Amino acid sequence: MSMRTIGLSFKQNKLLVQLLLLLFILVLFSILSPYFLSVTNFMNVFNQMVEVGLIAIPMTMIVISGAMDLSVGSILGFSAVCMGIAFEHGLNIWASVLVALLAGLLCGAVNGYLIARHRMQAIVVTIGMLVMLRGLVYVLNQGRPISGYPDSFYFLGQQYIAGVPFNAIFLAAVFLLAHFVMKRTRFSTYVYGIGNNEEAVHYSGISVVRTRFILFLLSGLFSAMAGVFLVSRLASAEATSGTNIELDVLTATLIGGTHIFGGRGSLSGTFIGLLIIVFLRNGLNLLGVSVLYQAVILGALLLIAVGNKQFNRGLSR
Amino acid sequence: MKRIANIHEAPIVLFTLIVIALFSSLSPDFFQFDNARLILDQNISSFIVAIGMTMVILLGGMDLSVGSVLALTATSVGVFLNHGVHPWIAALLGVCIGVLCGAVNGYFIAMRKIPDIIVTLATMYIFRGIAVGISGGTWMTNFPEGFRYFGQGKLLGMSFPLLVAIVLIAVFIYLMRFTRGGRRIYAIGGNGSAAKLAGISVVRTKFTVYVWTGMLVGIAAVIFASKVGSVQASTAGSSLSFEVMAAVLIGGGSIFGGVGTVAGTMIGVLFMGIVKNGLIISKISPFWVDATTGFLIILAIVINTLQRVRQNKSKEGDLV
Amino acid sequence: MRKVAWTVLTGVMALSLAACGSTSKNNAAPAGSGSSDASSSGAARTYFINPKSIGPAYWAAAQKGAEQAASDLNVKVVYNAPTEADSSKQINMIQDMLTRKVDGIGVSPNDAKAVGPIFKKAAGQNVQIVTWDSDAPDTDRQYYVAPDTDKAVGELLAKTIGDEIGGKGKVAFMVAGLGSENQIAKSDAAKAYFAANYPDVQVVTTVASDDDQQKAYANAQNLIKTYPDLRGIIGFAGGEPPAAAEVVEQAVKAGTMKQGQIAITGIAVPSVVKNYIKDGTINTDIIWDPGKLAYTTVYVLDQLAQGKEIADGMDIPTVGKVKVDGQNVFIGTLQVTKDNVDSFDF
Repeated sequence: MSMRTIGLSFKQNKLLVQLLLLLFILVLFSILSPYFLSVTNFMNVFNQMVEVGLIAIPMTMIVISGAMDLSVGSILGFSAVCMGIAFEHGLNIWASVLVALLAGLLCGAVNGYLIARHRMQAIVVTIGMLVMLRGLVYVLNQGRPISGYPDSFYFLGQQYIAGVPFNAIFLAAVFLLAHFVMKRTRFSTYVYGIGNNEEAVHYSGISVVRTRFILFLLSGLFSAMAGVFLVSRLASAEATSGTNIELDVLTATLIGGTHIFGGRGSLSGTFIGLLIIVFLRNGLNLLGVSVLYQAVILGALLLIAVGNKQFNRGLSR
Repeated sequence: MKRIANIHEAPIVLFTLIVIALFSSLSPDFFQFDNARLILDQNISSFIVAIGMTMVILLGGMDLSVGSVLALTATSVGVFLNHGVHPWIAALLGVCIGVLCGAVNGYFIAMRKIPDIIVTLATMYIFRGIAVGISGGTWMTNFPEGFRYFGQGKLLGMSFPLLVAIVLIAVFIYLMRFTRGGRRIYAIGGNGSAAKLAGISVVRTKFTVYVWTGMLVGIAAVIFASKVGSVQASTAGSSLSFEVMAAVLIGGGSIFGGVGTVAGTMIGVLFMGIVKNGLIISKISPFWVDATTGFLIILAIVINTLQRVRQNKSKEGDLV
Repeated sequence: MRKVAWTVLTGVMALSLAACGSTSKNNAAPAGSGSSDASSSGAARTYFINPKSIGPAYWAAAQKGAEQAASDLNVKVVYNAPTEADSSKQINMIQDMLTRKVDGIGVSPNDAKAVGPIFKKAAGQNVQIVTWDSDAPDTDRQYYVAPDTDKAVGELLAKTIGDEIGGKGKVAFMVAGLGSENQIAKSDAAKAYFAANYPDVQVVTTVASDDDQQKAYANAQNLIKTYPDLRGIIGFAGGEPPAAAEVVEQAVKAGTMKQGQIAITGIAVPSVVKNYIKDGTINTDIIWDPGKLAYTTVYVLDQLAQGKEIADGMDIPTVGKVKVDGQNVFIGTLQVTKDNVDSFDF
């Protein structure tokens, strides 16, 4: 088989391999644990994966465009605490949610302004934001968790509709919408284009700055959304929420086959990647496997699943 | 004057000086010989790890696993010591383990051609898991007196770890500047395919760089363990990789490779150290420390980028 | 070719996974006869004991106690937690274990409020709920197992340091996290105690290490630099007192500080601070046996599962008599000094 044909069948192949891996994990744990294969357990897992899943959507797009956003966890924490404080000051809960989303948008805008407009390195800017926002969270509320929201608000994270958690339905809907956007619109062409060849996109008269800016804005918004859902699920906004979530998100994105140097990747892949890591973690928890081995297994999986597929492409840049 | 302004590191040096002036005005305790020594002392591990990270970033890669390698090395040194291994041999074995970790990274990145970030993200999980595994969940502590020398000893009136750091920095500045190996790293980072066509073995250079990095992290880990006096495998060095990466980029490196110097990186590390120390010495509210640190990092990057944009304007054409 | 490689690799994965699975099972249930779940040991009761995180020595010591209890009481114990003290990951894990239909959960919550919904769910499934080490008041938990109240521990620390420095001077607090509930409760109690009993003691600052040993060490260095007239340091979590002691000891060695100029106390596992206590850098260290704490937790859960009563002064094997006050079970604190430091095995 020549290199060219591999390249052509690459895309379908990749998705198939991920699906097989997911299936393998599902079958394996069904055999190993009698509790794994049950509706309750699956609904639990869906309920738990929403925050990582929401952030993975813009992260996939950003990685496709050749950048990275490491500040998502801090944006999540920051908006969650902003919401809590707004609520504590007597604001209506849904108005507080709006405050959280605005806070997320603002953080995204700062990222976007520095990275897109001034072409600063995304990694450094977002590391800076990661440290700064997490610090601001402590400034805002002295690290004390904020709780005591009305019951109507817990609908978002704790309610089940026809046996399916509401937040999972929401996630699925958003994923479908985003999938549509990434398949059918010009915006996605720009995103893939920037990831492949930024200058070419620029010279074809498309605003790279605007596209980049929108991406980081989306990332801020989705991180804030994840924050709202997290608070609703846990009934408490704490200063540490979202710490290290960026690693989970990146892992899901990468296992999903998105190429770290940009230009290649898909949301359907990310979705499967997400399912792989959440089911892996859930299954290992059910078996009572210590988290230490879980980390090792996750790392090995990353190397095997992602590494091998990008075999011929490591030096593409 | 113009020549000074054109030095790559000039803006960040200037910014560091401003920050120093600021802290000196906030607290009389800041601008003192003792405190300067303290800042150096606190950041020795970062200095050493940052040398390796500079080389990795020059190649256009990044190494997220340094914190986990540090934890693994420090923990194994602790295990050796608690089994009565002689401190010098334990330290040497520790450095060997660092080299081994680097070789694992290098093997997957260079030979198997898997992107750096994926390999090091994976090994970050794996090495950390192994570290906690061999520690059995307990702390490594109660090291023998002889081991303290690596972190606290004195040689020729100078602190031993500081001396080690200075020697390493000097050696690597020389290697990067004046030897073929060093130039190869710049060549590959600047333009990989061109370097390959020019007959440079990309695989070998990459592998070597990761092995060197592993060794440097190993040395840093020994000093870390000896200095702090106890190692908790699950958290040791957990924020190290981001911190050191930020220092390299603040010091003028580019995440896309080919740009940056060891000297610049050292200024970056120093900058981070000064900020952390200064904020506490100025008795700022603990809740503000992280927020201010992040803000200053972003500010440093802004300044850096402005400089680069200014320098490149003639070369690149205006993309914005 | 690719597919072959894949099959091989996944096979390796499966093997390693199975291997890990079995080793941890052995760890978790040394008494259980192998991995056959319910068949061999009749209706073996299973409890999920959930510390704040896995890694710190404190929780490792607790694990030994939980496993000891498992073998003594002939029950199964799963001891697990996320690697970082993260509330949402902790709750995900509890949720997973409820799916596994455990008979009881012993949780040390990272966020007292956040565990509310999951406890309610557990109570609905008739699962026994006990909190340990950290409490979650106003939830469906049945008992709280602790050495003592946070207030009492905080006051004891304040009293120790107040006595040592003669009731006068500057004191700094070192905590693991500025946001964690039990740290706030203890340090607030200590502050209040100083205000009431030692008005001349001034608490100058509180620094946080985020559970990072090197950061704790740097914090301590900066403290003695910033406050040259500092008289005392209280470390409110296991990592803080050894870091403070190490820094002070080095300063004394370097001649920049006199021995005994700064008094240090705090909460720390004896094995970690053994050397500092022996050479006098730390005079008194407050601790309880985390193993006994976990043992008590399993014991209380087992009593509840069997429908037995929890009574004040009840005698728990290997732990001794415990104080039961309402819904609180207290095992008491220990003071570690030069004289008894060698008698602790944790």
